[in-house]
Amino acid sequence: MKKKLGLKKGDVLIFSVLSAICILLFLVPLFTDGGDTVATVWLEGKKEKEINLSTVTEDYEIKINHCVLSVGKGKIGFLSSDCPDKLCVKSGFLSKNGDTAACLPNKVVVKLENRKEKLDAVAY
Amino acid sequence: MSKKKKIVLSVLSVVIVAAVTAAAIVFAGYKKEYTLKEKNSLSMGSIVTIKLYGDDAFKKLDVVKGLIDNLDKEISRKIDSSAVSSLNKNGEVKSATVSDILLKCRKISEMSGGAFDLTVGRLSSLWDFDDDVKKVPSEAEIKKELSTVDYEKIAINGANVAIGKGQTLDLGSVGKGAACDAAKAYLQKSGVKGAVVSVGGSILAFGKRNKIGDKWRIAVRHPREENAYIGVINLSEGFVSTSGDYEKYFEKDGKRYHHILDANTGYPADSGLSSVTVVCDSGTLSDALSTACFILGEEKSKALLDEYSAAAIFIDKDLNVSTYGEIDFEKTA
Repeated sequence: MKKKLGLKKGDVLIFSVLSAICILLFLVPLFTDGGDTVATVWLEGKKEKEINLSTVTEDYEIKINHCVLSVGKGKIGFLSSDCPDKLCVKSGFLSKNGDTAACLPNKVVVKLENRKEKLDAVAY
Repeated sequence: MSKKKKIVLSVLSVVIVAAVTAAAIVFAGYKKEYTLKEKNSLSMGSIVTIKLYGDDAFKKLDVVKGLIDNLDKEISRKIDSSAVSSLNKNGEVKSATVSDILLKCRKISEMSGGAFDLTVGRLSSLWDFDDDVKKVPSEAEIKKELSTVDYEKIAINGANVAIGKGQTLDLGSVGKGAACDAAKAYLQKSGVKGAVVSVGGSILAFGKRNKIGDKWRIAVRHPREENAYIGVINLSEGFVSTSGDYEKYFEKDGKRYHHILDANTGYPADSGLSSVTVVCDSGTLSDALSTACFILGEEKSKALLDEYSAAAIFIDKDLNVSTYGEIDFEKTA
């Protein structure tokens, strides 16, 4: 059959390798989704910021509605807030997939997600 | 290169390009279907996360959030204009929502021998875990408020609800689950294909997680480590609720006083557990069951779980984990 089509073993091998590379190029991004830890910051139900914490090199601060967030490599947390109970500041740094913290009086929510682990929710 | 070979190579190239393009189109469609739109906001004094996919996803996220806000306005005893506040003030109210929740929970109060009781309002106010008071009330104070706790004094006639004199209803232990029920009722009729809703940690997993029918992955919080989880439930559909001694508590003289009160004793439940997670087909019931099971302890909970075909994960104070009923739970190493 191969002889009839005029193909050699080497031709088949090249085509197989090329096909595999093409398919992998499409599949890899679809299924890995980066795997980075991403923080999202929400104000009154609207997403205000999305920060890839895996790529942070130097700590910095973000101000949002009377709250100050501290952002570092792989972590984020409430540094200060003008709210009375400071529960948001007491919740410390978020660093794990699914972690959330909120400042209820100022309507700010911070959420962490590792897109590789694919958790849909946390029961608590 | 022969002419024949050139033709074969050209045909093969076209076939490969076509096959890869077709695969890309199929997977792009798959990914689009899979991507959940998300909204994080605050309601019922806690974080509400709604994720869903399907047509008009962003509009539907807002509708679900609105439903949860509206329910809060009806059942929160902290909102003066709510039906529950009116009931607590006047002894009676007309509210189909409140009536429905109470009817659903009645049997759980019965089967728990009164350990789970929604008339604990005055007792909860006395302990006041919400305001970080950190004070153990005196025995006399507890005895006084405990005398007002009795679910049997709740009278329901259609949407009309009445409570006994001096009683205070508190739906705090089931409100978040009821919000998940309200979300499900809307999602069912709105054509949403898949959604996950978390109201302060009470979860609804609805429809398909994606086209290929993977299960939803719901993590269960570690009872002693704030930002960690103890395992993951793989769930096709249903409601998940957790009750634990870590949410609102204080420690005094080496003892942990937490917010889940045993309505028979008036003190925080002490059944040897640090958390219970329940999976069942109603949000109100999964909330009520997780509270009741936490108070009753593992052994006494089994009849209750059987009654509602519910499953549970029990974590004791030494962090030993056991499951009961049909549940696909992976413990984190």
